[in-house]
Amino acid sequence: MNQTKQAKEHEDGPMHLQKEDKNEVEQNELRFRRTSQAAILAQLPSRQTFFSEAGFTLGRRLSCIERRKSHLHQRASMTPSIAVGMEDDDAEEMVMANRRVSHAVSITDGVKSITDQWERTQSIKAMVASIHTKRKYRDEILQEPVQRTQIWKYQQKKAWQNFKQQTKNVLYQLELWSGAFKEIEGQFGTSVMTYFRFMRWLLFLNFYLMVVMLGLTMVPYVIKINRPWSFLDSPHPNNTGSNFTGDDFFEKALNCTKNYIGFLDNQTNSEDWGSKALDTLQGTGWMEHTVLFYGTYFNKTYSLPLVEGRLTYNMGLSYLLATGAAFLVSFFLLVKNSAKGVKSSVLDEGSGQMTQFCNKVFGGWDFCISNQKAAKEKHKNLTQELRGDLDNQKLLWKIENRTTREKAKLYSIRVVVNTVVLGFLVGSLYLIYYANNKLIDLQREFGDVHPIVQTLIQFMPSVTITLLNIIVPIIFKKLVEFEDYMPAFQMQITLLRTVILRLASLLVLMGSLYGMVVKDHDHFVDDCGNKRWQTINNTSEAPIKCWETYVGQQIYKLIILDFLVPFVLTFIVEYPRRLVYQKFHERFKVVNMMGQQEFDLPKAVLDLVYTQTLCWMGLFFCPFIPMMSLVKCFIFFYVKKGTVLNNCIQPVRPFRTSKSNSLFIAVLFISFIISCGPMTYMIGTISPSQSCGPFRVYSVENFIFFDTIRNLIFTFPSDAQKFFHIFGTMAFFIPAIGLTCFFMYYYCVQAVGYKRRAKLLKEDLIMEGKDKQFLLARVNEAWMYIEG
Amino acid sequence: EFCDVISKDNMGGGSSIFTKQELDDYQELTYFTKKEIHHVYKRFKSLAPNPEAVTKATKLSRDELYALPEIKVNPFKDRIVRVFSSSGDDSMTFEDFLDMMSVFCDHAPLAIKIEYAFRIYDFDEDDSLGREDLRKLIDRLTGEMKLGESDMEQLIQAVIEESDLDNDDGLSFAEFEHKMTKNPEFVTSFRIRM
Repeated sequence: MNQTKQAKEHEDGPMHLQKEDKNEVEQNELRFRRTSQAAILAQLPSRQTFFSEAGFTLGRRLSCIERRKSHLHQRASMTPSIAVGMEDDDAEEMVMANRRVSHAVSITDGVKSITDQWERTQSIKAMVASIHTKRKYRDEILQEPVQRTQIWKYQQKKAWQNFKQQTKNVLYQLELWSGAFKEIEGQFGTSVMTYFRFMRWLLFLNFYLMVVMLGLTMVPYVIKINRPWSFLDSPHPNNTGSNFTGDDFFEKALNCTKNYIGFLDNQTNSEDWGSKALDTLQGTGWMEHTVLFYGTYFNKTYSLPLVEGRLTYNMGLSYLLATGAAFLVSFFLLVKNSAKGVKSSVLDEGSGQMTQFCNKVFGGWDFCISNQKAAKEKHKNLTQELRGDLDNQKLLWKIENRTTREKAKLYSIRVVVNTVVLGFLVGSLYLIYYANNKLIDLQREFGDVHPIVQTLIQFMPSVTITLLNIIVPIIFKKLVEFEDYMPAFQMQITLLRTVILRLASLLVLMGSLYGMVVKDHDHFVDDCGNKRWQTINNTSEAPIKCWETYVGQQIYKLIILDFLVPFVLTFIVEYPRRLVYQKFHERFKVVNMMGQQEFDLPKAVLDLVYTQTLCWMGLFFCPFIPMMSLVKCFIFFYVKKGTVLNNCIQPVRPFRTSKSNSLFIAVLFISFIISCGPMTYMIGTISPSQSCGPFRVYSVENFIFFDTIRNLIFTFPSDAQKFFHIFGTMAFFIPAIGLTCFFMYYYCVQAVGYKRRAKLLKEDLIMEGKDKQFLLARVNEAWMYIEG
Repeated sequence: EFCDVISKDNMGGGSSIFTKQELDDYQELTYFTKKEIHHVYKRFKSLAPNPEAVTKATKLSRDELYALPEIKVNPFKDRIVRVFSSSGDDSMTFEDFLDMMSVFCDHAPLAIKIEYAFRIYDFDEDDSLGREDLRKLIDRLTGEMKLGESDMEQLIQAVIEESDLDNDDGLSFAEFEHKMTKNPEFVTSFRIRM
């Protein structure tokens, strides 16, 4: 600094010399004032608490306790002695001396009973001191005489605390993949790690779903205690043999099932090994009649030899309840996880631009990083981010000064871009719908072609969806640059648009399936609960004799594709790209421009959410889907870990960790609600097939899935029936909704009130601070007057 | 991870390094469990030049401490070692080391992390984060590439505007705490996993 000053002197000549001197004098005065102010400040009670070994937080709490319990006795030691005639060194010494002064508040204050004593020892952990000092204070507390009253309360608390500690120990050891997490964290920091944590959370969710679904449906099915082993072996419920009318639903179900099984056997018997292998991919043929799909389950009626009468395992009821329980479990876990996010985001008031600098400067360095290369990258990223944010701020200042004309131009551009985006979305959706319908035509045309071509045709809708999901987001990313938003908002809006694309494509698929399954068709006979039971006119369109299994197969195909495509892409694209970059980036400019693979966090998360949505949608039709999702999560963890550690560099603009986690959960929640929709509609309105599944035996003419539960309720005593009936009526629903709305409104209003109060308190604080400065200045003046 | 579990079990069985009283003490006075304390001791031992001769009273010098990977690449390593060294001369005994790891671990509450963070960031130790402190802090953060002078000024001004409530041109501990409790990234970045 001195050298530059001298250089400046030489440059600018004698005129500026006087200015420089003036500056120096002012600086000196400022320094002097600050030092003497520092001496006064050091004696303020708040500073003393900070200096004490208890630390600020603990000291603050202790002084509150002290104030509450002994407000009659003023502590005389609080009046400081004013030192006069301070010089630089003396002031510093005083600051240091105060540092070594022991606690302004005693750590043994307010310790009366043995529970208090124990609680105080627990709070020693929070002291800002070395272990040696903490031990000293702990011994001091234990030496204080206390009343040994209510020992049982203290013992209870202690036992509970020990128990919690033990369980924490055990759980911590069982934590899956914590070593892998540490590795990733050390190299990439916490933002990439949130993706892997999210994956692990989904893994456990799928595990619970698998346990629920398989435990209630597959396990009872495969237990071969006694016959029946297939529906055709089931005994007739009216085994007395009397009253067989033509409308007997059980007979009807038997006939339909015979027809369906005959049809399936025809198909599978004429297939060779190649077709059988293809069937595994598609879920057709021999797979259709396995426990994988809905079709094979049926109500089992056992006649146990030792038990009088019969034991029926109501598979239909358990199927419905398993699905319901699975959704409930998912809902519960989702809410629990998003509550964490909401809590932290409510704290973040005035988020975005206002607090970003503080947060980045003080929380920017990831202390977890342990790798030299990663540290260098982190430094680089931080610098870039800070520069970017400073540019943002300048941009904001520029935006405030935007002329009306510029604003108009920008808004019109935004409208155009939004229309284009909408156009793309509608176009993709139409493409999917078209692909679904074309499938039927193509099947007709190429009915007798080689099975592999047939398989490809079968996969066409799924492939369309997958391709669109890859290409269109890239287009969105390019488009959003025209809209000139703040970068963080750009990312959010692209994410939102991609999410809409993915969910909408799934909904369109569901819609076209619905069209196939529920609408009447010209070429088909409607029978046995299936609209496409048999073909008329001998067309080569295949009839669908069990529509639930058909839907399950479509979703199964999507899941297989969803597993294979990223897996293959990783090995075909990402590893070679790294090799190419390593070998050629110095020689060829093009390679250097393309750069290294960046870990695209939003896309990866969306993939996970998509898999989970497929899982929820397909639960009902294919109880094994949670297990498939589980396996996929497990395998993908290692694949992604490999590719991230070996092929990718850190993302240039890392996500803010907490916000990103709540964003992921929010997107997952939206998908959950959207997958609930078709399910509830189906259970409430559509009739099941009579040829397959646990609902094949109707009990009324227009049987729907939900009637299973209704029949169950009819078997309850009439008082219980009345109780359940109330749930269905408006008299229950409308007050329930009203009450829920009222509570929500109440909590919202409370939150608004708290925010307002926080704002007022902050303004008060600012005023108090100004008061403090004023008083300090006056005291200083008084000193200097006395001195001088 | 499974190997870690097995080795931890072995250590728990025949640990002769700590008496039961000491282990209980450490468990009470820090945020670690017994297994974690053993793990920390293992890491402490690995830093010493002569691991076999390490006892609880061994002091590690500053350069030996710098060998710990997370500390080595940390731009604030000198401040961390200074703040946690109980003897004030940048050397740490095992208890200091344990204390340091306890503050940085997952279980430590936010309040204690904020207090220690304030002490670490306070370069001139005047109990307030003034402009000079902020300047040094930002310099350390950016590493080899420095921000330009005008950028630096803009940044420091922005930070002070955001958080200084009493207009004393710096951050006191209360202001720092106020800001950091609302900063959700702070708690995830201010930790070292064992």
